[in-house]
Amino acid sequence: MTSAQLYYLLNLLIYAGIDIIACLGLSQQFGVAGVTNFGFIIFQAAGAYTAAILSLPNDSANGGFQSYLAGWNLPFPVPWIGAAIVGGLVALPFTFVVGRRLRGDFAAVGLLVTAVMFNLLVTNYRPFLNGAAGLSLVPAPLQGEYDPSGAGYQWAYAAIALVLAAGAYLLVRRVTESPYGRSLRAMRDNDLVADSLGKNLLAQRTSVLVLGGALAGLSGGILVGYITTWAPGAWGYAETIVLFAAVIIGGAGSHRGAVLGAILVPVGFEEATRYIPSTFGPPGFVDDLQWVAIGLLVVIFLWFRPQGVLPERRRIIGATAVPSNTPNEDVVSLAGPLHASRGAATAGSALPAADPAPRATASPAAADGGAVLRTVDLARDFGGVHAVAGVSIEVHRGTLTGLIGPNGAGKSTLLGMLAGTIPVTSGQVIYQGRDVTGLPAYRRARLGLVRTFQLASEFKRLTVMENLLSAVPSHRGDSLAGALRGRRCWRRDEEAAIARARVLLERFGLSSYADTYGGDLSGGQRRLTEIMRVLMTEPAMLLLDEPMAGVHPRLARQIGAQLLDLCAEGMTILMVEHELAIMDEFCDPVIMMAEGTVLATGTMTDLRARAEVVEAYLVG
Amino acid sequence: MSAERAALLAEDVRAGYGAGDIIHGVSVQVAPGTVASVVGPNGSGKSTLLKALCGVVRPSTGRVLIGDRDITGLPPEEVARAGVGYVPQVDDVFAPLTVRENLEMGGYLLAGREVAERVERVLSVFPRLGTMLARRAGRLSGGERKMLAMGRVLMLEPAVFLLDEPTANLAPQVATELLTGHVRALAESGAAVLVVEQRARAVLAISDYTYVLGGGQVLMADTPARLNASQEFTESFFGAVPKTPQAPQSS
Repeated sequence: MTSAQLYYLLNLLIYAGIDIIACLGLSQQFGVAGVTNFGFIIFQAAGAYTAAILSLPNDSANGGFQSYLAGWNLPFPVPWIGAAIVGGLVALPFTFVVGRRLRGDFAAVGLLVTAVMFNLLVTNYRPFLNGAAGLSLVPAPLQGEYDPSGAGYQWAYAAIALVLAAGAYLLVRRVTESPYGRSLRAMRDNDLVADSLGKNLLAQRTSVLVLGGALAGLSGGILVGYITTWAPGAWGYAETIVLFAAVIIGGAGSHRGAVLGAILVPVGFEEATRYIPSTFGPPGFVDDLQWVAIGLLVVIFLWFRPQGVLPERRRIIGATAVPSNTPNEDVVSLAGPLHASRGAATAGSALPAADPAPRATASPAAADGGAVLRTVDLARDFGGVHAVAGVSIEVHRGTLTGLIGPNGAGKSTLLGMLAGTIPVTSGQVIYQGRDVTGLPAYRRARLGLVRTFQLASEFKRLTVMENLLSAVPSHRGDSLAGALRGRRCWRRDEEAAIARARVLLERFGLSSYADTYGGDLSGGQRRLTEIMRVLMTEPAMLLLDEPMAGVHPRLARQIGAQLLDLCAEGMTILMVEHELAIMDEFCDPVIMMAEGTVLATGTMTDLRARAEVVEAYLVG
Repeated sequence: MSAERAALLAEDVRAGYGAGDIIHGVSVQVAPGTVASVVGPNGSGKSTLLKALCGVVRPSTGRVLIGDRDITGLPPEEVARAGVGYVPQVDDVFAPLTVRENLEMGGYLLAGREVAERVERVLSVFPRLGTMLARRAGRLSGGERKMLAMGRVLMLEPAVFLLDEPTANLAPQVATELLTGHVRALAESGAAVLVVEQRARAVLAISDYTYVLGGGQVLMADTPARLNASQEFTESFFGAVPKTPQAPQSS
């Protein structure tokens, strides 16, 4: 091997290390947590600039031909550590962009625009970081003691870069494979539902932005130490797209995929295209074709293999601990024997689930006249329309209370206000004697007041078991700190949660589906999964929005029977349902709403006897 | 109503989405210049029936006639050319365009000279639209918006109007006004109007004939006066009061 070839090989290794670190950070944000950070390159740039100005002497000492901030001439490894820290800190203000108010596409566009703005700012304001010319003559790490152009130095640099990449891999894996990582993936699949289960989305997004930002910053620090120069041209917003291409092609959400993608795209693909003879076309033609090719690669992958080369792997936890004599059959027939005779089932199934309603047994509800949930003159306007206009209801412990009314009566709006997913215009929500009107959904969920959704709300790329586990409250592994402390910190919580989930799966006849992705279930199975998941939060009160919609009538009755069993064990349930036959069979009392107000409350028989109720359905 | 006078005639239509039929053999007919309504509780198949009539859902059996022409199974654009004007429940106007532009879009298939003439005719049916021609559709009130949606469809002077819950999201008073004033006006312009409604009482008041759907079948079909007087009609919406005191699960 000639020295030129060796130099080239080492160059590739160092770039591989840098790109692997960056791709791991981006994969964590985009693939795991679903934050489409089109401004990712800013964090790498921030790290690179930080490392540069920490290692450069102040500008007059450096010849005075470039102007920049600071210039502290600090020894290695301080500039790299600073790069990682600043990369993470820069992420903090970005949480306002991807905060809870701005979701999905809008946040992505916001970040893209921010990246462009930063680049323009740095390019055009020279005293800050020397403008478009950028910083040069950045000292390489330890260049006073060793010769940066020597082969030994190059080998060491490559080794350090790869060791740091390995460290980044272990760090990202530790977070992603923890219960906290599961919460991040739940947020990715359906943030509204994750919110309602008690996940603090703002905190979760902040932590992935900071973690990914720190990794990007570190990669920038390593990069600038190697190339000893850094200018706005090196971090145009389009560079983010190259990293996105790497993550998508490697396999979003998979750490090995991120590593592979980093090797394939920014390193492999760009190097390979370098060998295309550039003798044809106008100058720069081949370089521009590279961009076209990367764009095409992304499109081809999204079309034919959206999961990437190494897809996110399925986390098999399984339902093996509880001996299951139920073969892989249709759920309907599985759940059947459990409630062949409802009376017997109720008597016999003293819910094996560890502790179905622990919070309901506390007494604050009793202090509120037996009402677990009460509203005072609750109202919600949508642009002048009174969707709910002054509703005062009480829901008592252990009841399966129904909520009915014609289309547009305000049922779903009321449910949303009770759960905290729709803001209240006026009035109060009193839960277990406490005014919770101002609390966001996740805080109410932590108090035991949890809702389900009318539309499919399973986490599609979590298994049924993971869907259940994602709902466990106060899990020691379900925080960034817990995740970083490792499995030893949270193993016992996890095992306890798995045991509870297995009992629920057995009870609802879905044991054989524990390792099936939520997105691969039938409509009825999704409904059951949703109910099991909400039970994992150990709620005191459930708010169910049409839990039987789109479910075969036979399965609907089995769900109804399960709900009654739960109520017999102390659960309180408020259920919206428009199938009146279900109300007849399972709900007492039934609250009837029309045009935003409560018209009547009683059994279905009571309601039918009241002319104004029947008339409300006819008036519609 | 005799079959030869019907502008719209549907016989024994079955339709659904993939997994099975939602409506099981429904027959309706509407004569020119009259309003027929379809009412029934949630999930009774009203919307599916309308979709089967306008070609969005393909009927598995039965036939649909517009005048003498069999349009069964034709795609929606062919059904529209055959003289069926469909007013959807939502997304019914072009919000960024003005009222006049919306009407002109409705006359997209007409010759340029004809358009202005038709706009005048639509305005004679819905005079209130004439006072707001330059306003953007997105700034209209709910009732005005629905009126514009109907006016836009009226531009082609279809023989049959299919209205999907025109009063959804309207305040009760506005709903009544829309039905008594404007839906009725469509019929008086000579078209056959089939309107699906959640507000049974209000739509009965403007109908010449009403079909009550339940479980995907026509439970009752009669004049509004006779339906309003019928106990069975009431029960089809909210269930019967049990004859015996032992109601299931009423403990």
